[in-house]
Amino acid sequence: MNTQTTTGLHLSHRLLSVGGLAVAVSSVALLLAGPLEADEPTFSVVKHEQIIPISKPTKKSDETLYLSSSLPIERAQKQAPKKAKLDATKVVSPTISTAPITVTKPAGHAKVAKSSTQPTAEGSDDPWENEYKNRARIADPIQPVNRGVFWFNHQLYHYGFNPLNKAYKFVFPTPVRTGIANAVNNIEYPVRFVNNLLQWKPKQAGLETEKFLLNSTVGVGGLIKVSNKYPSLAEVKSTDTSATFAKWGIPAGCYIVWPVIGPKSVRDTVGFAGDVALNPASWFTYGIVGGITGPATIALSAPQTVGNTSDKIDTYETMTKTSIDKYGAVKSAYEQNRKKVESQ
Amino acid sequence: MITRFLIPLLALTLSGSLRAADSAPETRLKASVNQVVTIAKEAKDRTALITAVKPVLANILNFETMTRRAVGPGWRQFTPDQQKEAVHLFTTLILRTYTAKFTPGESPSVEYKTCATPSPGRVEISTTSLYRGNRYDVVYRMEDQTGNWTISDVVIEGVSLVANYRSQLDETFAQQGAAGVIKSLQRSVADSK
Repeated sequence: MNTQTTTGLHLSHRLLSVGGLAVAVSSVALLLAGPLEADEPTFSVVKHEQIIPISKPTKKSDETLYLSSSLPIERAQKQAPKKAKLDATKVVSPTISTAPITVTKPAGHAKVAKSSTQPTAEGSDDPWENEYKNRARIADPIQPVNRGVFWFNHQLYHYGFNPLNKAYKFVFPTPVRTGIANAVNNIEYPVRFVNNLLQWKPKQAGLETEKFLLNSTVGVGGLIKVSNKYPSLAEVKSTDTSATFAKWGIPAGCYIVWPVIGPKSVRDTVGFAGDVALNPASWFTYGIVGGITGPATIALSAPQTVGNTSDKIDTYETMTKTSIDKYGAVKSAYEQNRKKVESQ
Repeated sequence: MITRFLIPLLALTLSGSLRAADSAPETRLKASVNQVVTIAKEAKDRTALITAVKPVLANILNFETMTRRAVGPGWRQFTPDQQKEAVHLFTTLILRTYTAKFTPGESPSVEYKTCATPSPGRVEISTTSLYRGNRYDVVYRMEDQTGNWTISDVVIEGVSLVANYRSQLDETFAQQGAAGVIKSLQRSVADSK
């Protein structure tokens, strides 16, 4: 059983799993400024930290006016005037409504209210019925191509990687697999250290170093994650180059499904190249598996934000097996997971 | 004079009862999670695990709420029969998704971190699960359904289970309506056997 190949193949699933999906290197060009898809606009005011839907874009002096897309479409269309004549409130043209637009800042009022926690629906006995509508949606202008590549990848993952993963789990007992995953994660320390510094998080970088030294020595070359016994070290959040780019304000760009390595935004694709360059595993991988070219080689050295690859393959299998639209399920999981990684 | 003592006493009592109310969902969640973890640890095989864990999940997960939010406002256009059918199918999918995450004989250790109350009647309990050496952030979103706290969503590593299904069902509903959603769910249930 070629453990290394199996592990590498697993790594290529990063993006497709709950933990954070696959990877790639790439052409830089495309759509770095690809917009988020806009939802139908409606309006609401925030008064005393409560979101109150309104039918016209006007406000009183103690209210903050927001664009909101968390209302039902049919109502939104009814409510949003085609050509709103705006008074002093100056509602911004309703094109992108992923973030509230503050018109004024009355003292003592919450500027941003979490849409996911605010009841908004009218005519329904469930105030949160539409809370999941407005999740950030990455632009997908090449969806037909992406779906084609996704289909190819799925065959590869399902009929290739998944059986390999099962064989890997059959041959190696859980403690051995855990040890291998721990060691791989430990080797990827430079990715996390450098990106913490690039995000100006010296304290996190220091904790990462502490963790690396502890696990490498007491943890026998990283096989045992001794750091999990210390809350301050166990709680250190992982990061990567894509997260650094996000912190720097670089737009995500559009969604691309790469052959073998899976889904990525344009920004994350470039970020992945940085991760590979920073990952010592990739330095060795090129020498060891020189015969394997392109994405497969890169996949072998893809750093992992969270979780080990074997578990991620299991997650991918479960997610796609119980999905309604495999492509949509993986895309949504990728987006949501990246949002979390970038916010921590 | 009496009032002077009574008011602080009343305030103390009230604050005490409020704290108790806040901890109710946590207590309920912990009890359910402990049950699931014990079942997973002691299960001999996958079939036994699934059989034993299903009633526990059915007791704590609010399938109807999850289904309606996975559909969104279009839910109101479903007939009562369609709603019933959708909940039934979605329940099957959720249970399959959830139970597939467990391996007989293995169980995660769960650490409870914070319990936030973003709005009345709703709490978000943040936990960390340590499983096979990896730490996963899991947030349980719970709501008070007439005195009974149930889970309306589970967010694993930032990925909301309900939001994930909503993203898949949006297009189906827009193009094919309630019948299309039911058909999609039926197909998924059949395919995921």
